[in-house]
Amino acid sequence: MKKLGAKKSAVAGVLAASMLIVSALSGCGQTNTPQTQQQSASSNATPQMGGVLRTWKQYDPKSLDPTDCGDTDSYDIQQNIYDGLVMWDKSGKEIVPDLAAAMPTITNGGKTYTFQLRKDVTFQNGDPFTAADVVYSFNREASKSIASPGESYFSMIKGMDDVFTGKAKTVSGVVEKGKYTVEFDLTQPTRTFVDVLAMPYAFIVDKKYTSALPNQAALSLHPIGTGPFTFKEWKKGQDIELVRNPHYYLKDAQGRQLPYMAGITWTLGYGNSVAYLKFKDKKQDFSLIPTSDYVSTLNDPNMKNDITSLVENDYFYIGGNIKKAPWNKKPVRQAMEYAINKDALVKLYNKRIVAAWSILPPNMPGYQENPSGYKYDPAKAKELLKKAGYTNGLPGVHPMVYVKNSIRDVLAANIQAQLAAVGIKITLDGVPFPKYLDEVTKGKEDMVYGGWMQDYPDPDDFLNILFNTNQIPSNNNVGYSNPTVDKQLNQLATVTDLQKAIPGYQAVEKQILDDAAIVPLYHDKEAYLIQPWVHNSQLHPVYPYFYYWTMWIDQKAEQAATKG
Amino acid sequence: MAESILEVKDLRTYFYTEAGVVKAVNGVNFRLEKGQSLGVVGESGSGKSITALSIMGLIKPPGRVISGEIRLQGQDLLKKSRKELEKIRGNDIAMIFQDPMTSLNPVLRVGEQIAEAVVLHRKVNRKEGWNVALEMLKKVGIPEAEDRIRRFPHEMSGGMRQRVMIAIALSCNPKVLIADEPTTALDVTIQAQILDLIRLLQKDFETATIMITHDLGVVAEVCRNVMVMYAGQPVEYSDVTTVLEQPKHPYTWGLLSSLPKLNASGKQRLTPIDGMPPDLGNLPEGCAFAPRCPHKKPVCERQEPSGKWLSPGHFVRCHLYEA
Amino acid sequence: MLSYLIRRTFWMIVTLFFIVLIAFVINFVVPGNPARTIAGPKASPEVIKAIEEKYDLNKPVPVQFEHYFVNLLHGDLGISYRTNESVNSELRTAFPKTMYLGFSVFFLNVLIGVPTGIYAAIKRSKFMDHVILISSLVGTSAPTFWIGYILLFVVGYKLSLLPIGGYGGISHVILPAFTVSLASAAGYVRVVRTSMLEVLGTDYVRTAEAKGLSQSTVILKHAFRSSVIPLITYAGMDLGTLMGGLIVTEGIFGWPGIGQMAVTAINYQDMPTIMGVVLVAAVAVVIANFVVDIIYALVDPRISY
Ligand SMILES: Nc1ncnc2c1ncn2[C@@H]1O[C@H](COP(=O)(O)OP(=O)(O)OP(=O)(O)O)[C@@H](O)[C@H]1O
Ligand code: SF4
Ligand SMILES: [Mg+2]
Repeated sequence: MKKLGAKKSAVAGVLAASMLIVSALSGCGQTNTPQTQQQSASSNATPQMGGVLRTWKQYDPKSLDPTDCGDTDSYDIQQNIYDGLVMWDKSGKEIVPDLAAAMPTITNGGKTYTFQLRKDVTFQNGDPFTAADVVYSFNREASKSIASPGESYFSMIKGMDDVFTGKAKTVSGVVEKGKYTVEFDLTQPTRTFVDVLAMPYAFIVDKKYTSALPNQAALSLHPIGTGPFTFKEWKKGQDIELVRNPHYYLKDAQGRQLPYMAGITWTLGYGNSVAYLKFKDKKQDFSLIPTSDYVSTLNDPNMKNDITSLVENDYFYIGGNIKKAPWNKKPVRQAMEYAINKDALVKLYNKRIVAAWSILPPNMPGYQENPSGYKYDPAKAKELLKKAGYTNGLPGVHPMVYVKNSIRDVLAANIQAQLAAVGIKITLDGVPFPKYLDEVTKGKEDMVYGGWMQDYPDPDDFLNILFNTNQIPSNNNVGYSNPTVDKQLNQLATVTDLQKAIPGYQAVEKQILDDAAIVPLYHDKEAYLIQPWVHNSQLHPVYPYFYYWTMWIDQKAEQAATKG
Repeated sequence: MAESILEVKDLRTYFYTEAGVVKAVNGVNFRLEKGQSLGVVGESGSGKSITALSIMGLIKPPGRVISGEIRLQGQDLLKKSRKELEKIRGNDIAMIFQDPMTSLNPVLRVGEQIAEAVVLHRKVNRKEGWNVALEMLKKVGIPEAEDRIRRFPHEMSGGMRQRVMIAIALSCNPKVLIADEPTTALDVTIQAQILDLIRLLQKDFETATIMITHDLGVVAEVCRNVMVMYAGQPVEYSDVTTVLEQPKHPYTWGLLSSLPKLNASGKQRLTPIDGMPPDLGNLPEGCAFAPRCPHKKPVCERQEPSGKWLSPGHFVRCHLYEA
Repeated sequence: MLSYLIRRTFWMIVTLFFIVLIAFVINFVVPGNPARTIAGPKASPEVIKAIEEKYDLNKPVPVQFEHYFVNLLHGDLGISYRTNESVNSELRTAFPKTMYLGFSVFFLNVLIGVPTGIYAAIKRSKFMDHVILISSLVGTSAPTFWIGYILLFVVGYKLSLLPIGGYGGISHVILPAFTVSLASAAGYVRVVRTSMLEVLGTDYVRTAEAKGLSQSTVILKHAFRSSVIPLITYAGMDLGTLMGGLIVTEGIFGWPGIGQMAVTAINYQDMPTIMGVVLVAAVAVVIANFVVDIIYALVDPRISY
């Protein structure tokens, strides 16, 4: 979780700052059952080998070192260089083995996870992959001198925090049980442990190579992993080049060595509008769509087929601080649920968002469309305010804090107008992300317009972190506290099978919305442009990037298109 | 009659300003013979400098020479192209300006400023140009010329700079030299030196000179003939003695009236006459001097005097002398 | 001259010291804990503590400043919060690229600004003069990103004459340089025009004309040389704005200089990098101003130090 600082397409850097992103992001990719790769092909043609994907990023990734992979830009590149023990499958709803030969056996009441590793994997420099590399990678992630921002995701592993705080030299809970066997010992049973293992912080690095580096920061500039593409060059602010790893361990259904493409090049440093021009000029295979060009692109017969879009696993909301009056009155909060015309917001933002009537986003396990049955009904809102004793609208003017950017300013102003129409007067307090964090994580705000992006697709990541009393104020910024909900959430977290926990989470979500803890507003809808000669460019439902290793390029079509 | 070097006929230079047409030079005629020197006097704004600049072909918009002839050895300069004029300027006609402090380029060495004209007109190389410059600096009486030639103007006094200006003007041995108040900006002792120098060089180089000045003493010393200008026109023209001793025009009387008797070295400024010079953009219908003239007749305000030669060599523009 | 140089250098150092101090203080006045920004909102207190230690953030501000300053005296600008790399090495890569763009802009400014300014002065009050004045006004007031985008769209995309963004040789530098230059060359035009008009009205230009020098000699040798002094002054004053233009433009075109570094660093609150960029830019401006003063003395013999 991360609080959403800014839309990634606009200010990835800010996001990066805040994000610990990831696991969700991580997803991905590689399906280890090659048969499934074909199902999403954008054409029935047989994949061709070769061709370089010319893609783009506005900002340089923060780092190519997995211990520093806290932003989506870093993740997008690192997922090609490194692999983890497990990863998300293409549906984004299930974890599958990656460097592990199979899913772990869980013993000791859910506290011991034992992995058998693949024996056919080598690092890009030829070093064989073994259990020692796994142990090394987790010790590295725990290292105090590296101070990985993701370390606390792994706190459930025995000894992880002790190494981090300097109390121990090695992580006692990650044990090499044989050349291809690793055991994890947890301090307590944790369902989300495999989710966490799918995060990039848990990518496996080459012990022999990495430990010999002159300093650990050097890994970022000279990364080596087991992934489908090998790092070639990173010219800061200009481009990053990866080339095909011919020794990648996955093959497709026809037995062809993956990946198909000869390489990927990200050009760096310029924004949306320029990327869009380069895309239209066919000099780039991928682009985002600038907001100003969004509608025209959707209607452009030449381009509309190049668009691929995805509702992201995030959500934006507004809420009053329940610890303060008048938000402590439930009818007041309920009035807000009826006061906002979310379709107006969607229209304002060119349909780059979808309206939200629930907390969990559509691609999240347990999604329900509108559990509490709210709708836009300003008359009802006024009535509820009356019921709360405010016949002439809410007294006072309430500052609403949010992370400032041009889009959010527009949406916030619309929200302000809509609330005013039912008698709730607010002022807009758009601030830089660090200031925002400073206010809301201390529960100082009166009203908040915030966002949340998943770390991994588990309802726990939204409902428990945002609404459990024990998360006040750091993540439960509105100060919602319901003992029944807390009890349920705590119990659900220990259920090892997510499918069994889902009905419980759905009940919790409905309760939270019935209590009107927050008003869900919308989910982001990311839309990308991809050239028609690039195939299999399906987006991950969890994390808005591609599975590069199953993409392929129709080079004849590309040449034909770019020649003219 | 001696050879005529420069002949100006009915020269008119107007400025087309937003406020209207300013008739700065409004029918000037004169003749200059070889080696002769003509003094031009008149109040400030009477068109002396504009006359000189018209002859040099240096009138800038919004000004324009609208009619007349300027014949240099018979050739009408007004009919010449810009290129042809560039060959004449600085070569056949040269000019010295009033303020030596501002007339030299502050960022070029004085030697260069002399030599460039020489190189241009005499078609010599730079080195020879510098030799000529050095020679000229010596001629205009600059001590330590070898050193001064490399100096910048700001390193020299006003008098020295005016000598440099004279050196520039005379470096190509022009046929006509126009000196527009060359001593006004200098202090008195220096003034005399510079005037002596001009007179001397004028003889040496046999240059015909037009000396524009406010200073009748200068005229008396340097010039043979005098042209008195008022409102862009010559109102009286004659030899120095006649103008100073038997002036005929009421304006000339006015210029001279408050003067103490001139002594040999007398250097007296023209004293102001009551009243203001007319607005050149809105001249009165009759005689331009009429509003200030103590002798005006009714006709003066109706009709412009056409001018009359009272004797060969003595021209006056005044109704007092018109039949 | 020597005493001037010593004095000048002294003040340069004082200026830079205050720039360091002010930049440092401003960085600390902005709200939010950098360690928290690095770690993200969910990080445990232990993670934040470890990060604070790693980046020296756990000490009182004056101590941090002292450390920073001592390191700075050794030429060490610290480690980037964002990339974990040394700011020095990142600047070493980026700064020459900014210089490359900056000098291209300067070259274009002179190439566009000087002849246009002279032309406008000669054509004073004529039609072309008005056209130039109005376009220079547009040039100055149009936002840089807008100019940049229009250029990319027309020249890069529609006409396919030049690459659409990116770093490289002459063909890559033209559009970004032109983007910055359009705004600052407009200033050059106006300064050259004004000072030329002034100089063209001076007595010494009339003297030059009276010598029979051709119009081009008069303008280039006599008039322009003196009018170059206000231009140098302007170019010096414009440097700060130029830096600003470079930063924006680098972001638009994907030019990997210190501007782009700054934009990313600001987004991330990457203090050591921000400080590094500010310092390098400040040093560049201070040195350039110093050079301007020296050039003065060379161009104008009346000035001596
Ligand atoms: N650029 C100009 N625009 C408009 N009028 C001008 C311009 N230059 C000169 N004049 C007009 O021409 C008239 C004559 O000017 P000129 O410089 O010839 O006077 P002058 O006799 O040389 O006076 P002074 O003794 O002060 O040098 C002035 O009164 C002025 O009104
Ligand atoms: S014409 Fe008349 S007004 Fe003019 S000067 Fe002669 S007497 Fe005076
Ligand atoms: Mg004059």
